[in-house]
Amino acid sequence: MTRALDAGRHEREMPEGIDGLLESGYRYAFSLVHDAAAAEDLVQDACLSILAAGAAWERRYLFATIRNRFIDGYRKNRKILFLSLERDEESREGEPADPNWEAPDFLQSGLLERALASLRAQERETLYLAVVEGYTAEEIAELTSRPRGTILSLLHRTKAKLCDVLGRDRKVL
Amino acid sequence: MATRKIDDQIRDYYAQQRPSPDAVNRLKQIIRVGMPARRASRRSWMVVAAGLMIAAVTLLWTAAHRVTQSPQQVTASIARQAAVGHNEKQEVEFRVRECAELQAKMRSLDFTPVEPSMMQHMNMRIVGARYTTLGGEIAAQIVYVDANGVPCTLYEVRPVEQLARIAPGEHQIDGVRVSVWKEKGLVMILARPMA
Repeated sequence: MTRALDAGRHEREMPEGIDGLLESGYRYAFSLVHDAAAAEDLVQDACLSILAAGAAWERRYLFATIRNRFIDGYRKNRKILFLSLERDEESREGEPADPNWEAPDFLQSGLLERALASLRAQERETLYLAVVEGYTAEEIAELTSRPRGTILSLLHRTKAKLCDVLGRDRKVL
Repeated sequence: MATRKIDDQIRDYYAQQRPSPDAVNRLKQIIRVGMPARRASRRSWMVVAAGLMIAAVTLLWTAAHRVTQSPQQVTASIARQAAVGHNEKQEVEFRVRECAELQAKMRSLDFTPVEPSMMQHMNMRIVGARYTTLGGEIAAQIVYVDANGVPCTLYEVRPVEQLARIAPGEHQIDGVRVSVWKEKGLVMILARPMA
């Protein structure tokens, strides 16, 4: 029985740089779901999809697969995932004068974690791709199938929202 | 109190996020062993071929539709977006007293917002602006008020992609008069209530 099962599988060589790729994929998944266990599940689902498709182990492809699996999961649960940005208009008071402003250490105080958790998936995703991965607006637009202009305004609003939330939390504490 | 750039803090936050060693081992095991090899049946090849055919037809139809959209159709669609945006009366993100302030504040735009000469002739006063998108391009949505305090909405956007084919003219949509023209290298769209 075991031999019969093994006959259908074949051992593969571990792709080069797989550790870095999995870590990077995990962080991208984490930016979407903001939950460690859910991010691990998402990466595993994506890996299975890549294996099933016989596709290459490339960062772009892994990210696109993670994103597709994430959207599939939400569709199954019939949740609203990405809202239209044409009408997504939330004015923020805490407009940062500099998009990369100097701030107190929100990372150590845990406020940054809370502020990121308060963002929507599409906001965290865009922020992650731009700030952490260093993607250009064109590259994010390509990955997320949105117009470049939408990405630029989404990034601007996300930064403003983050600044607003961090400012508010700081006042509460 | 020590301060740090917010982008550095975001990078450090995500650098701290790592999959558990168990998860990494599990994933590597999955990759090493791979999926059970499956042989594609004739039926599955037919499904793939049909899917490719549908995708190709859809792609061709979409491309043809985009190319064959007349300037009038493009303009009507953009004018409708402008009228809807005007009627929604969204909050502005930047409150300003003159157009020059917008140039300093709206730094995510891929163009410099300018004041069309028409606004000066009409005795319009700028109130503020916000980012928006028109035809998939980032645009400035600028709110003016006239001498009676009636708000008007001016959109400015670069004439690229389908916006390059926009036709100047006047439109009346949902009680809004929409004027479309090109000036200073930009497409200008002014939406104001009909008298």
